[in-house]
Amino acid sequence: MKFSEKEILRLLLKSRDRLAAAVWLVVRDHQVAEDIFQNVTIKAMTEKGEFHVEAELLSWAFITARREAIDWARQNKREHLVPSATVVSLMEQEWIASIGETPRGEALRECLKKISGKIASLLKLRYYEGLSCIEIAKKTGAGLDAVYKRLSRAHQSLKNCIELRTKDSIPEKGVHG
Amino acid sequence: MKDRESKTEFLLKLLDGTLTDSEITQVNQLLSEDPESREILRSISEQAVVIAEHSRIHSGEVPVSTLPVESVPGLKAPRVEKGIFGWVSMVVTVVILAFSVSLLYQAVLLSRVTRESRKTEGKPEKELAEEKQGRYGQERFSGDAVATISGASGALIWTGDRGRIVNEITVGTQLAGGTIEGLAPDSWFELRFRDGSTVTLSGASLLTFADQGQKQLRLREGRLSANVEAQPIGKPMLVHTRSARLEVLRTRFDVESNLASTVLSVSKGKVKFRRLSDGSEVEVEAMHQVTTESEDALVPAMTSGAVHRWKSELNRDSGNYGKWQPPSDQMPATLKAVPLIPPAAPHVTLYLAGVSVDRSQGSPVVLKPGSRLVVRGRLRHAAQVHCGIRVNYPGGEFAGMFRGDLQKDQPLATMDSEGRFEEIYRLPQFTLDPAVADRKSELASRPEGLILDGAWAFTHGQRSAGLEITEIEILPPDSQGVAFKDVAFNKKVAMGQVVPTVLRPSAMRSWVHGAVGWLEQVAR
Repeated sequence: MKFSEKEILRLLLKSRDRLAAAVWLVVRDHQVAEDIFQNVTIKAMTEKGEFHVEAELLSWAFITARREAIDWARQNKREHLVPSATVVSLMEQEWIASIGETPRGEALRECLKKISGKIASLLKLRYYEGLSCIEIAKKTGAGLDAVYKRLSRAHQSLKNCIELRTKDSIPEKGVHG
Repeated sequence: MKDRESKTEFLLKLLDGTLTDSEITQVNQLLSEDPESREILRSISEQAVVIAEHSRIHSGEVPVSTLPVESVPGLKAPRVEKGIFGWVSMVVTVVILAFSVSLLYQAVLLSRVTRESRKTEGKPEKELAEEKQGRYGQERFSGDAVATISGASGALIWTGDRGRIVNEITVGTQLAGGTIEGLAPDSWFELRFRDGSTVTLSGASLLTFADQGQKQLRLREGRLSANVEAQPIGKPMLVHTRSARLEVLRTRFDVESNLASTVLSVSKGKVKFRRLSDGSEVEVEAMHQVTTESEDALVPAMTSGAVHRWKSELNRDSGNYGKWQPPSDQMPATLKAVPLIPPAAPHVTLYLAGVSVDRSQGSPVVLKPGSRLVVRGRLRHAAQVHCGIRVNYPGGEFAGMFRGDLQKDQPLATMDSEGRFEEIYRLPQFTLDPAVADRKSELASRPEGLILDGAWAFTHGQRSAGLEITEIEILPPDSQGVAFKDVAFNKKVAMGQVVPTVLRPSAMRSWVHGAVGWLEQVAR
C-alpha cells in the first residue's frame, strides 16, 4: 500500500536523527543539516504515492539528502571535508539497515539532561556554536590534544549512557507496507 | 590504530578539518574497511545533531522541530518561534505544493487521455491490439513503459521518474525511462524496447534512457551492446556519450565510453559517429571501429584479427572497478579492491577489483581452449582469491559470465614474504557464474571461442584481506612463462592438500595432468 503524507512524515521524523546526522557528516553545520532535512521531507511528501515500504522511502531520502548536502558543500567550498563516496555510501547503508533498531535519539536526549559543567560546555561550543577544536583550545586555554581527548571521552560516555538506557528496550519493528 | 579512543580522536580530527591529505586518505581507508570506525563516526554525527538541538532548546532558540514524533502524525499546529523556518511553514508549503501537484497531475492525465484517444482513432483493431501487446507479442507494455528488463543479474539500481529508486530489478520489470546503474563488474542487464530493439550493458555502467517517439540513450560510463530494429524515418536512435554522439537506424554495434574516450565497433549495418570536441562526423560500416581518442581526422579502421594474449593496463581512466593507486618504488600501479555490498545480499561484503578489456587497441581477445587467466597482486592477510570473467559473442552481444575459482574449495592464495601472490585459473575449470544460472539456456555454455570483455577478483569475509591487483593476464595454452605458483599449486593437489571435490571430469584431468607433470619434474 502506498504511504500517505502523514505516514511519510511520521517515518521521516522517526529517522530524523539519522538523516540529519548523515547530512551533518557532509556539511558539519547543524542548521544546514536541519534545513536539508526539511527540504527532503517536503520533497518526499510531494512525491506522494511513490513509496510503498520504509526502506524504499529512507533509501530515497538518504540519497536526496546526500546530493543536497554535497551541493551545499561545493557551493561553500567545503567539498574537501566530505568523506570519500565509498565511506558515505557504506554509512548510509548501515543507517538504513538500522531502521529496526531501538531509536537512540530519545535516550541521548535524556542522557544530555544529566550532563553539566565543563563537558556540557565543551559539547555546546563544538556542536552548537560550531567552533573547531583549535578555537575551543584557544578560548578555554586548554591544549589541543586535551580538547580532543575530552571530546572523545564525552562521546564515549554518552554512548555508554545510551546503551544503558536502550538495553532493555524492545526494538521497534520496521514498517514494511 | 586499535583502541576505540584513538580511533575516536582520529575521527574527531577528520570532522574538525585538521588532517593532512595523507591522513585523510588513511582515515577514508580505515572507514571503508573497519565497521567499528564507521559505527563511531555515525555515533558522533548523531550525537552532534542532537547536542546542537538540545543546546538550542536550552538557549530558548527553537524548540519546534524537536517535537516528539508522536505529536506530529496528526499535524496538530506546532509552535513556531519568530523568524525561524519551522514545521508550520513547512506544512503550509507542503499543502500548497500538494495542491499544485494535484492540479498539475489532473491536467497531465486529461491531456494524456485525449492524446491516447486521438492516437487510436481510426486504427484497425488488430493494429491496436498489436500495439498494446508489443510488436513481438512477447510482453505487454503498460502505461508509460518504454522498455522492459529482459535479463539482469548482479547489483543494479534503477532511478526512475521523480527520483524513484528501485534496488530489486527483475526480469519483466517495465520501465518508463530513467537511469540504470550497474554497480559492479559482474552486473549486467538487457533492456528490450517496444519495437524489439535490445541494448545490453555489462560491468560498472551508467545508462539513462528515454523513448518519446525517438530513443535517446546517454551512456555515461561502461560498455553497451545494441541490436537495433529499423527506426522510424527521421528519428534514429541517438546514443550520447561524454565525447561522441551516435545515430543509429538499424544495426548491431557495441560502444564503450569512459571519461577519456568513446570506442564504437559496428558488426552489422551502419552508424553515424560524431566527435563532440570538433563536430567531425563519419559513417562507420560493419566490421569497422572508430574512437574519439585520436586528435586526427576520424577514420574508421577495419576490425583487426583476434588476439589470444592480453594483459591489463591499470590506469586511472580505463573504466576499471576499484581504487587506483599510483606506482611506487616498490610496487607497480595497483587496483585496490573496494567493498561491495550486493543489494540482493546485504549481509555479504565483497572486496572486489575488476578490469575492463580495453577495445581501443582494436583487437578482440578471444579465449582459446586451455587459455589461462593469471591474477597477480598483493594481500595483507591470507585469503581465498575468487575470480570471474565476462564474455561477449563476436557480434558484441553479452554471452555470459564464468567463475574460474573453485568457489568454496578455492585454496588460500600463496603469498611471498611481501604479501605478493599469483593465482592461475585454467579455462577448462571455469564454470557458469551462479549469477546468470537462470539464463543458462540463452547464454553460452562455455567461454572458449568467445571474446573477453572483463575480469575481476575478489575476497569476502568480515574484514578486508587488503586485496590489490597489479595485473590480470590471459595466456594462450601454448605460451611459456607460466609462473612458479602453477607448479606450487599442482604440488598441493598432488600432496592431497587441495581436494577439488566439485570439479568436472575435464577440469580434474587437467589438474591431474598438471600434478603428474610436476611429479615428473621432481623425479628428473
